[in-house]
Amino acid sequence: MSQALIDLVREKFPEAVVSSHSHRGDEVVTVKRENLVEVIGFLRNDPQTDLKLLRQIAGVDLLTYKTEMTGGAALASIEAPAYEMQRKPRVEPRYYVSYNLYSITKHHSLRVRVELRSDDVKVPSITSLYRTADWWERYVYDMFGVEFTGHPNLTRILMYPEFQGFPLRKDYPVRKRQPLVPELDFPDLVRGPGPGPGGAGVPMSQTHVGRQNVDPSTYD
Amino acid sequence: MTEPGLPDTDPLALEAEIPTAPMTVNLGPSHPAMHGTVRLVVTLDGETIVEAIPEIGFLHRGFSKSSENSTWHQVLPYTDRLNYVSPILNNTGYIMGVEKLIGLKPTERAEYLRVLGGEISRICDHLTCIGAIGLELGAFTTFLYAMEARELLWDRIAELCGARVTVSWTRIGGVATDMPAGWEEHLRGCLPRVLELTNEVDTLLTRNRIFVDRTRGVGVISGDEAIDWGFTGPCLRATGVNYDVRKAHPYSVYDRMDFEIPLGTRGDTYDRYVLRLEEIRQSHRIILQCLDQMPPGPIIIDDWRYALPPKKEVFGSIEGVMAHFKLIMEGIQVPAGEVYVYTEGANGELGFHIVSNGKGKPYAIQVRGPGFPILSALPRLIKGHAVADLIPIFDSINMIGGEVTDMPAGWEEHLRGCLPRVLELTNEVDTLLTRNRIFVDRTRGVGVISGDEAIDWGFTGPCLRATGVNYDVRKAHPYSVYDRMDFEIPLGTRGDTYDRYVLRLEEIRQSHRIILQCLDQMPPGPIIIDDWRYALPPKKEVFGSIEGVMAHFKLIMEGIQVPAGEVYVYTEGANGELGFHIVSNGKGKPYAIQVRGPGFPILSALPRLIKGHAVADLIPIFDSINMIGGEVEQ
Repeated sequence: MSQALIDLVREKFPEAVVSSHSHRGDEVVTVKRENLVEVIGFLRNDPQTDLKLLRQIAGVDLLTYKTEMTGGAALASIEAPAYEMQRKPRVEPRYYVSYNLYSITKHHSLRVRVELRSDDVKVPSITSLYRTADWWERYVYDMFGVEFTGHPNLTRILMYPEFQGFPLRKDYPVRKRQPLVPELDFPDLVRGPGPGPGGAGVPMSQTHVGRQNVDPSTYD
Repeated sequence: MTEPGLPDTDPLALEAEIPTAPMTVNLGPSHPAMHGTVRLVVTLDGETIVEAIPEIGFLHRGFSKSSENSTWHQVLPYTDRLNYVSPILNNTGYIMGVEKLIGLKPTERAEYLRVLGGEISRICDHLTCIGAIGLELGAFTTFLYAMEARELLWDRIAELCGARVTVSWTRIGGVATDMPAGWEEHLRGCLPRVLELTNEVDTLLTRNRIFVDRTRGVGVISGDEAIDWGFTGPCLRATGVNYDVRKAHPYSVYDRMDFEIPLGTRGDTYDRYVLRLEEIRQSHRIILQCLDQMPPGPIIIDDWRYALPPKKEVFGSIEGVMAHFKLIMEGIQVPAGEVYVYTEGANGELGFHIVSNGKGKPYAIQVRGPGFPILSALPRLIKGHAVADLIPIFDSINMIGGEVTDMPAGWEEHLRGCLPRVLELTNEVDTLLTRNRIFVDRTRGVGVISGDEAIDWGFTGPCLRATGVNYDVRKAHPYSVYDRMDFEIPLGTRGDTYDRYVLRLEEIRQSHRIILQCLDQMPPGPIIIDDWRYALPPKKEVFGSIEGVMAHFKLIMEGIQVPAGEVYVYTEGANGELGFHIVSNGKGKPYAIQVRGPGFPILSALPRLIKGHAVADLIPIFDSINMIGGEVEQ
């Protein structure tokens, strides 16, 4: 359908394209990280492509893509703790980030992919091109730990700030638990009148049992 | 600047500038208007919103992670819970992704069923949105209309899928269940009512001054900017951008459907509301076309690599049992690859980005919920508006509810139509409570009174009959046409809270019999006597004859003239004998009137009933005598 888009990117940025493929009608082009903003900026603004809608930014961790077990063993593998994952062979580049672009006027779409090595999980932010990139980049950061350089506010979006690790990485065990988060200090809030523990003048956080933080590594 | 003085001493005090500081207000996550637990940290300058930061994640249940550790079919129930108002649309979107990876086409009938179920869900979703936006602007009635309509459709979905919300209805290669016998008639029967209720909402809100003032020009966004923010669905079309996946990239059988894509012009809250109203009507058209065009045939493909074999084969052949075992234990094997599949969800483009490594479970799944990018633009939409505008804007993006008149035309059909449902609901109560261990324990033998003692206390009605005393005014002294009605008087034996409850259940069924007999036996004729000494003359006579106008004048100014005398008249009220003791001195108003509310003597026995019981028994006993304050205290 839109093989034309891949051809166009190859023509305009012959240096930038790493690979491309088309599968079940979906066009995918992988570009070098340093050219990402340039390529996407072109695809967005060129009247011929007009890919003005950024549908989604998706992340994928390829750590167990080849080695994952199947059948009943696959379902049992959800119990595999993180250290077992560590022994798996390294896959590089381990991550890729997929930018799903669409044109409402031309009705064509293209996925632009950037591959990332596990020792350098950074991508330039495209928040300057799409407003909607803000939350999607925060999402991918939250789930995969991909750092989007230049993002105005790269904080967790679905998980809470105290959460440790990145849940959609394949070495994050599905059943992993994390300790309760201690209550934050509200200097002007006190719990209960009178003397004694939790009495007048004692900040809430100092009365909460959850304050006795537990080492997260013991929570596998 | 000098300090302002007090208003009563310094005339300039009221003119003085009051130093203000921005105030931070937290809305949610647990706030009735923040549907689906969203927290908004709003910075206010007076009433004006300076800044708003949405904080999400309170409803994050780890869809992706759970799905990546389930078989391809096990993901399905998780998709029900993405947009829980229109789950069939999510089911379809996900399953289409798996089918795209495999390169599979479902059967034709299944395609029609998916579109049919999806459009019903879309109507439910839009009804929830427009109902809630009215509700939160103070129009509670519209919410009730919308909920009634949604309930009709959810009942159909429950009949189709076995669940109202957690439907898990689609399957790889088809759907789980076909339309049950008679279901099409049910659906066709309830759709006019759904449209009627939608029109009620329309007439109540669309031209309503208050509603229009509160929504028009509020939360405006242009088409280009909306695309920039990642808007799709009704919120995008409200800006005038014509993008609907069903038209732009028709999937399933949408290319065979004749329907319009309504578009807005202003991109404000009002347009987003009106557009959803119109989409309900378009979805209704699609549903009817689906029903008309749907071919007979299988609802799922006959390929045991992907679809479970029929039970006959599972229990009757070695191939069947093996295919079943492998599908359940290992799941289907989906070829390796990466797809993005997108459908038109109720609130916009619903996309699934799925990666398969060729094994029995999805390697990576990420969902593009249409509300995610739209919610990210909420600060942009509400900035500069008053804090009161926040709620309707938030609603509009729908991030994830006569006595003397004649029977109106069609009323009898309405009544006959709703009575079976009334009985059905009564039966639901019956099955839930009557044999419920806890309920029986809490009510049987509690608040017991014997027949003689009950009479002594002045009991009548259900509370008396629960003791076994057969006294019902309708049978003992038939008034009106009760003597022509065939009905039973249920009686209790123990006179306890439980009997009072069971007896009322049975009386509902008897009243239902009487209603049907009334409708059958009712003769045509005038609904009021033609005696102008007591009844107002027809308006034609009042304005057309001197006798009429005089009779009207006398009745209104002087009232009817009732001969002197004293009567006690008694009928069977819902809670017992309802009596009126009336004395007339022959003048235009009652000389003395006293009501015998059935609850009055019964309430007087409450201390007798509850004494010696636990305090927790007080409530059920009190409930079972059904005291109506207005009747007791007159």
